[in-house]
Amino acid sequence: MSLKRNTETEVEEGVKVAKIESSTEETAKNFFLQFKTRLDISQDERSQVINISRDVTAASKKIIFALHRVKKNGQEPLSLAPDVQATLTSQYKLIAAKFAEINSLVGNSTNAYWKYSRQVSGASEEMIEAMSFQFWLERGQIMTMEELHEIIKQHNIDVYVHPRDYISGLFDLTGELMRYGTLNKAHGLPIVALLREFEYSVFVLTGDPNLVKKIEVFQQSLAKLERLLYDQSLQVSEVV
Amino acid sequence: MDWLSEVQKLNDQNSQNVTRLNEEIDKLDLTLKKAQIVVGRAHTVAPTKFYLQPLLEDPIYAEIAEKCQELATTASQWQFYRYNNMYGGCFQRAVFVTLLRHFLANWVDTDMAIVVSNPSNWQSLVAATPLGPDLVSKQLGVPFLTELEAGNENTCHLTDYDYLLGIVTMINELSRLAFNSVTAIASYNESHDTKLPFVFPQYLLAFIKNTHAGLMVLNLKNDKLRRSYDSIKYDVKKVEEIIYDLTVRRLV
Repeated sequence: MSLKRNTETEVEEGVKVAKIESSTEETAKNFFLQFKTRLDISQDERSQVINISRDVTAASKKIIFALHRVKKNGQEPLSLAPDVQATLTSQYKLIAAKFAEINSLVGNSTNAYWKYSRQVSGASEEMIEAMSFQFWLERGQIMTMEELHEIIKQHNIDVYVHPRDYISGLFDLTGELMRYGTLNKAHGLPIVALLREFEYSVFVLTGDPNLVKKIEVFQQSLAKLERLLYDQSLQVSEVV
Repeated sequence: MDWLSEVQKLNDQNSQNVTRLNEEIDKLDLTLKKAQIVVGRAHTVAPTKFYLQPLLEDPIYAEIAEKCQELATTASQWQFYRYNNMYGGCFQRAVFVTLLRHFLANWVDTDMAIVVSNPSNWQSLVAATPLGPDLVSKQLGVPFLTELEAGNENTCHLTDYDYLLGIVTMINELSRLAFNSVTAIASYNESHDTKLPFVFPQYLLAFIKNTHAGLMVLNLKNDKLRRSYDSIKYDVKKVEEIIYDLTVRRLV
């Protein structure tokens, strides 16, 4: 008798307990639904920004490759061949369109810049690398921040550039200069002289963790080019 | 070298901001460490009002709010997303402490007389949800804003991300508390005539399961929140095993 009663209550209570459990679980699910929509929206936005930034990077790389085909003939300012100029025009136009797309998506404010700096900075740096490479080919100098702003304006690009992006872009440029100096031996010496200017800045920059890797790569580039010039000088001296 | 002067400017300006902000962060961090010791006492005492009330009334919570507000005021000088990653971790811990305190206060306020007279009734007492983001924000005195609400304003605020990470940290902590509460209840029962039932671990399990089910609604991407969320399933399992151990010994 007592055993039977127990079983009955247990069953009854089991049902009741299950009901309460499922109702609190529903409450919990509803509570977390408020975050779901918001997280989804922000993650979609982020992945769109990443994709557009990749397009900017790709376009900048095309510009850089086109510029490597330019022969610097000591004439300054140097005018670029029509086919190179055509690539540049179309790719800069694409870059302008892509940045406009990002701006319409996230707004063009410095706050939006910081929000997506991890996603966008890589693209800006690549663009700055391309611009500074072209600048060097044309005038044999390192582009200043003011000159960069002007060039960006000329191409109708609307993007906020933080000094950090500018400096990172210039460090990427050192890699291109090393490549150019290796392929065009006549320019080796002036390029090495220019790269040594960067060497001094390394002392100032040691605190910035974002640049540590770039500085390492730069130092390797400089060493490669110095070694190359050494080999060349030996050959030249031998022949004489 | 014109371009080099730009580097110098960048370094000077940024390091000034960072130093200023780090001062505030260090103060909040120290307060949070003290607070975690205070709420951590919950692991050593029996889960009753008598023992828990003092640690819920500690002045440390007011100090957390004060330090959070000071940090928020300083940080609001600059773009929100610029330095948020420096102090986000501190905000997440502040949210966690606030949530845990609220959870324990909820438990303390449950009518222990009912629980003791009818231990099988505990399920109706379990809080279905943790303290909401707006109430956490109210306690800390730092606004909680969604991305849309924050827009491009500099206002330093708590984010969805801070809140959800606080939740996950709380769940991790509660699973540990489930273990220790068994020890604490047993040692209490050894030295007292009125025995405490092992209700608290069951209460914890119900809450953890509810919250886990709630979090499963979200689509998480591969980031810190996702990784800490993944650990919750082990917390659920751990506490389920505790209840199993208690059940086979007829303790619940």
